[in-house]
Amino acid sequence: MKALIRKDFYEIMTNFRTILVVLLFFGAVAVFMKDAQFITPYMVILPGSLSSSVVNLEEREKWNLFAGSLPIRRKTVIDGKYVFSLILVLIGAVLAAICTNIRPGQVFSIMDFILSLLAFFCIGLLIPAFTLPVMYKFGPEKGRYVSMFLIITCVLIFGTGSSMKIWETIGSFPIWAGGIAIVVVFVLSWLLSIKIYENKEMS
Amino acid sequence: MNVLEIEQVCKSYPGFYLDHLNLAVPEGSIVGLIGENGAGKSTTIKLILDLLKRDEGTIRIFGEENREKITDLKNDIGVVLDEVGLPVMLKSGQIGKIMKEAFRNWNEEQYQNYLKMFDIPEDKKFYDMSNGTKMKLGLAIAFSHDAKLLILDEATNGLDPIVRDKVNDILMEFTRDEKHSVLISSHIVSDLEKLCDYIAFLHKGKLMLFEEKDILNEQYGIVHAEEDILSQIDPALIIHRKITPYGDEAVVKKEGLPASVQASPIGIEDLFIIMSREAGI
Repeated sequence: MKALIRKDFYEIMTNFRTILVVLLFFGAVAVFMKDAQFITPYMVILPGSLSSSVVNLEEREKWNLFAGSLPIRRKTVIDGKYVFSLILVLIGAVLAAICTNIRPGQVFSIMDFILSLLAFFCIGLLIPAFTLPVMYKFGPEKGRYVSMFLIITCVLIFGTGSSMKIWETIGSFPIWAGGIAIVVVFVLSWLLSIKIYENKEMS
Repeated sequence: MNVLEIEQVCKSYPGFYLDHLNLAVPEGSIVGLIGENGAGKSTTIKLILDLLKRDEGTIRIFGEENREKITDLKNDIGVVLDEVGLPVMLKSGQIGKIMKEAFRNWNEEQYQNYLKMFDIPEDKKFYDMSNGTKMKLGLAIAFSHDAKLLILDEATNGLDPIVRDKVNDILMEFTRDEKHSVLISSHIVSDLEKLCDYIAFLHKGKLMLFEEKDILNEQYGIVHAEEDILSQIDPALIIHRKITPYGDEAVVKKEGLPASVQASPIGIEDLFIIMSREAGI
């Protein structure tokens, strides 16, 4: 699995400049608006969508056929992709939690930091959870539609000023229940992707 | 002993049927798989590697059923497919690091030697390499993890004649160790003719012939003669007959020919083309 995760990181590092430009752009907007939270949704959503980009690339470069010639189980290929997603989403969630909780004039609360970190982490997991099984089953094209739909929905919900009511509604549910639900969805997605990939014909 | 045994394997797609294929790769030998596009060569190789699920039959590699232990078995199999399938944005050094973590017996020194031998640039991304260089990189990987069986699917087709010759030499050298074997498919029959110990003809998903190359050379020949001489030959021995402005010619099975009829040797490529024509393309 280490080989696969290394490969995925190499692949996204080749797009590092693009990712950096996107983050710098939103960072500049955040500074201009004097609101670091503006950048938060992108830090949560972008890492989760990178694993889908890698799957898309793999389909074009016929990596799945090559991976099929390596001494690596099909289950491990999927495990690698989900672990890769977890690492990226965690990095994004940490950055987003820093932007949200560490601001000039604000008293730092470790509890708030951890809670927001967990919330961002769970939200970030939604994109790979929904897109990866669709990509493995129906191909990257359809998976991209799901990914785009989720990104737009997430940005609308979490990234716009008019979403305060949604935040209030979300806030009325116990956070832990939502978190557990997302983790369950992620695990089910992982198992489903393994099932799909193990039965896939690599032609 | 056979390192690879395929018995009664069937696979169907819309418009294609691999029909009860039986094939074996004896230890220490090079087996060439010849067939037109769509004959089933790549399908056969993907079934061996369990990339495709067979409908029927059994495949054993090193005596083990391929589905049960395929992951472990792949440590001992070097594979190059017609499309190499490496990550397009990566360089040869990065690919080496990935392979080091993937293969139990990865030999980095050997990999570096092959990169030099094949003139594979270290600073170029896979995407920027020519088709021939991509294929050479695939071969360098296949040769660098102490594989006992090499499976090459049209792997030498994109190479220039000089590199192809070098690869042929490496394959010959590889099989000097009697525990090493090769299954190679190619359109370039002349290469396989030089290289292989056994030849398998696949045509429209059916194995038409699987025989030792030397026996093929002994068994088949071509007769250039007038019609009255050709008429002395038992029709069952004639595989193909052609009338040309310079006289008649017939591809024949040599065994049973009348003593008065002399058959010249026929190349594997000509034999393959004639057999395919006779079977109907």
